[in-house]
Amino acid sequence: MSRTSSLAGTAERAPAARRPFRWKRAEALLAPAFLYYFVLLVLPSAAFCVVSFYGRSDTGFFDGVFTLKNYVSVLTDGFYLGSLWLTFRISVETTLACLLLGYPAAYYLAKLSPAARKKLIILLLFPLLLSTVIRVYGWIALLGRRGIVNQVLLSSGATDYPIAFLYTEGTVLLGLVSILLPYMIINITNTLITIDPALREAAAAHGAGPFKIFLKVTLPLSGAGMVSGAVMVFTIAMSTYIISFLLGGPKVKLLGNLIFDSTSSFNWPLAAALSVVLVVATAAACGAMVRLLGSPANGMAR
Amino acid sequence: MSTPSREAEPSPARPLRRPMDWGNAALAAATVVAYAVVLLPIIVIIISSFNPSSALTFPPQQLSLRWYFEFFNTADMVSGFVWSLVIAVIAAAASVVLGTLAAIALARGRFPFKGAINAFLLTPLIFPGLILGVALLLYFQLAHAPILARIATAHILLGVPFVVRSVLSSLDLFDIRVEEAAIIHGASPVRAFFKVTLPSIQPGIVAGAVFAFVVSFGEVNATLFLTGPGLSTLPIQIYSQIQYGSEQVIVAAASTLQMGLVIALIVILEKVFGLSITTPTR
Repeated sequence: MSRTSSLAGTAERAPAARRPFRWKRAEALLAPAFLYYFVLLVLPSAAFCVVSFYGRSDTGFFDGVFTLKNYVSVLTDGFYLGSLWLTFRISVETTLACLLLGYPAAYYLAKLSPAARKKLIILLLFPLLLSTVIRVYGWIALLGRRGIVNQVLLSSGATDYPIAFLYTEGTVLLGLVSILLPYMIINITNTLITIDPALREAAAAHGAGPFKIFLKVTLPLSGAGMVSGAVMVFTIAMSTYIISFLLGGPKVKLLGNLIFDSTSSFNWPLAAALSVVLVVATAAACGAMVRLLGSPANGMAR
Repeated sequence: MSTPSREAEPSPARPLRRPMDWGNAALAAATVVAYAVVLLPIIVIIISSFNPSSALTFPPQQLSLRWYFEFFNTADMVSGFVWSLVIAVIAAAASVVLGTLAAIALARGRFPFKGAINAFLLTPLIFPGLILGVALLLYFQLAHAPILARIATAHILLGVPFVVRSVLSSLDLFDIRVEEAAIIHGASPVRAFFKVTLPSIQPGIVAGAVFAFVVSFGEVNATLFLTGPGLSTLPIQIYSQIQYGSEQVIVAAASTLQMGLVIALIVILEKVFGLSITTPTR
């Protein structure tokens, strides 16, 4: 291979021909990671799926007798279906709120100079490196009974008794948006900066106004970033349990909270069935989203 | 640069400048709101941690390190902090070994299904931490694994994708002709790789290690299932303090300490290795 390119006499090789040699048996280097993934990710997940088809046991983890009753109760009982619907609804609301709040910010970031944009992106990446519990605690410190907002309201005389902001669906939504918004903004910004400005100039030259250019050129071309951001936000929101527990309390029982509760009461088969339903529902919804709105962008920043 | 406004459509009679500025101001305002939603809780924590009062008065009347002293005098918090450091170091070291080897194989190997293998190696990124935690808990209870091994296992799994990605992108950026030159001068491909390529992709490896460390240090979704009596991490201690604690402000100090650690690591990454945290995530 290298002989052909030197015969061609080009000083600079084309990128496609730039790998003149490969290692033999390099796949052996994959072995440690593959073994690790197989024993500690694939096997536990597969075993967990199998357990979802067993019955509950009072002495062990499961009784080892094949049954569909876990799935039947999850998919027919109003309590579980209600929780599935609530989880889905809150995840969709979170995704839409992140889109509405994130798009203008992403648009603004994309117009900045690369240096200024980098600084502002770091401000969004930094919170992603912090623990979820820390970011949730910030909202508790603000909105709790003895929190800052109530202190300010009480001392200003706007209210005589503390207002219960926490433990509502609204605070769970606020917490989720606050924690997941950076993913959306970064994904959309990354697509917006790849749009060739010549396209907008061409539209303007043909008489389109700024609003029309945005609607007909920029918005459709940033679709991939919106889809990848939406898939990411939706997926993480669907498996929430700590955020909803700390900000929603016992009133907001998402599917994740029910999974946690069933392991606390040692009902492993039920926890497994709920987990399988959660993963399947999430994958189906993301599949539908990609089907309807187009493929996500490559190279998702996370 | 044309600035399409989402708020007001410019009337064609007037010059374009005014409505464009309005649109820009609206965009800037929306951006401030978005950033506030993300950053407000974090700013509040940092300020509260220096407030000596046990009620969250705002703004603080005076500044003190009271809660930091309380933090270091609370045995649970300190042991959580130490265990978090230990587990994060284990997770970073192990995921660097697994992830770097896998990335080298993907960059230099000759075998099919590379895209699928790459995607498989990145699955822990999208695998819900909740389900990873429950599935591993059941698995480990059947195997009677010690708690440290349970938590470290999950954290290594979550770190590998970051190492694979940052090492792969370093290998992509590396000019392979330098490696070829070494081979032409008689080095074996493997020797050329270790003597020439490996030193120059070192920043990618370090970036991957830092990410694996940081992810492990803050992880709660899987860890909450795998933790047990006598061994829990700092985020788990924070979690139980929020739930049951009487002196919640200690959480602000604990949180600010974690932020300080993350900022220190980012600064080291930027100053020593010339890498920005925006680089390895692309």
